[in-house]
Amino acid sequence: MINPALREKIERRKRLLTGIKEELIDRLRLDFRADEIDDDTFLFGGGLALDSIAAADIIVGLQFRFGVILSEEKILALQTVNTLADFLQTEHAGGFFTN
Amino acid sequence: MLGRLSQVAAFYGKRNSVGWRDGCAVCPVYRSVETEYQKLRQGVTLTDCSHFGHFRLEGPDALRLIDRLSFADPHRLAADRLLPSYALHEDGSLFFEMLVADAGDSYRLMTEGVDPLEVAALLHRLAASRSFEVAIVDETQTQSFIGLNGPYAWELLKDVIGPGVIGLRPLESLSGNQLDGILFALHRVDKAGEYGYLLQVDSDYLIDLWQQLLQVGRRFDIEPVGYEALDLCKLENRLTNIHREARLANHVLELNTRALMRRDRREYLGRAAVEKALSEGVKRRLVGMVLEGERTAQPPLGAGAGVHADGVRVGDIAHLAFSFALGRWLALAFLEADYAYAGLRYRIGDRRGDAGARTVSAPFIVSESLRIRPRQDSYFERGARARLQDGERAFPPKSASVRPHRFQGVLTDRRAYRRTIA
Repeated sequence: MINPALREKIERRKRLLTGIKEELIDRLRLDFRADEIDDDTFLFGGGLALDSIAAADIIVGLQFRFGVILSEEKILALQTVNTLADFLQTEHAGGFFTN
Repeated sequence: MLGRLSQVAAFYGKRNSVGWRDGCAVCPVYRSVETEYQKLRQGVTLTDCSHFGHFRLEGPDALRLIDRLSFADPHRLAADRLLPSYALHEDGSLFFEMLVADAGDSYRLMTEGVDPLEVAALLHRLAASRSFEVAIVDETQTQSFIGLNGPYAWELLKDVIGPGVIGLRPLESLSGNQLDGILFALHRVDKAGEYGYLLQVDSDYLIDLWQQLLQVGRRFDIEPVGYEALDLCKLENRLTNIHREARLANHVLELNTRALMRRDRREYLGRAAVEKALSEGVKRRLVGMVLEGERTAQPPLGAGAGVHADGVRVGDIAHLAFSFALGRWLALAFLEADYAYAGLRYRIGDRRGDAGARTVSAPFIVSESLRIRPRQDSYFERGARARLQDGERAFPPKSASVRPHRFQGVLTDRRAYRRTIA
């Protein structure tokens, strides 16, 4: 039995991760479900093997969905879905992902 | 059964200890893990990859055999490209990792994680079970590999084979290269999170090529590094280590770094177990953890220590190592899926004691190579950065606002890290 405070943290994180994955899937027209992308999957190079064109699409998608503006350099440095979630969580502490 | 002795390990002789990887005796450390790690993160290093297996598959059913063997879909493989993949056991756990190459008239497999003799046995068994028309040639004894890793590895290679190497992207290959008359093929494989290359050479010329690389790499302060430093870099960059955490995974999907898989693939080893896990959900997942309060290089706990939430064991530590860059103990742990998220505080404990730890996003650090622009940067123009020599490690911090640390130079963006663990 997970204690309620921990459960709440986990649920918030899950919602954020799912939102990011759904945005990647919609924006990049990936033919997969959100639960088929692991949290530590690399966005560029290995993993999803996205390129700089995809990075530009992701930037637009994150701005549209989360209201966050990222540079291409920044998104390349974030590397994985999980680190992208960290960034959004920090930028919007108490914001969208708490809904 | 007797194992193989790496030519490189024999070359260094009694000066170095040897460890076993995939049935081959290779050097885990040449000088010290700390010094070698520092070189790998800052300059150019050589690694002995003699434990790799190498196989040539020829015949009309070569691709079918690889399709049966490989977790990743080999039909996506393009010429001059490498396909990274795993071979699984029937229960979905990892057997070994491999790189697949289409050489035109044949397919090549470079394997790591198990004795090549076991790979050969599996290939023959699979081929026989389906009556595949394929010739399996074990070239492990005749083909050898040297790893060249570091943020400026590309620059050394530019000196050797020309500027074309700069355009070589990850998982691309370039054959027909020469150094002092020694022919070698080049594969871009970032095994340590920095610029990384595998040089494939006829085994008769392995030591010659090793020595030549040391010679031309002298002005880059090149040094050999053992697998211990390489393993640490893999951990920090969250690159799956077939010799460490992957060995403890019950199932490939537990690794939590899944590249997208096509669900319409035909039969491959372990497919039934993978499909079952996909339909039932993965029960454990691998996550990064940072231990709190432990800044000494003495291990506070051992691999296998339990991870506890509110006194209940929810996972196990699979790989634990001290990060010289971060001054912290890092871990990878298999946690029950409901608990396997970043940003949570747990307790880790075993007979030796216990410590607080937080789950964090991986990779743990941002590699120097991500900041390097080969057309603009150079090892010889690193500005105020001190050159690493003889174990010296005095790097000025990039930003006065960042707390100085003896390995500060490794990180290009500590804020990303801080966001994770703060």
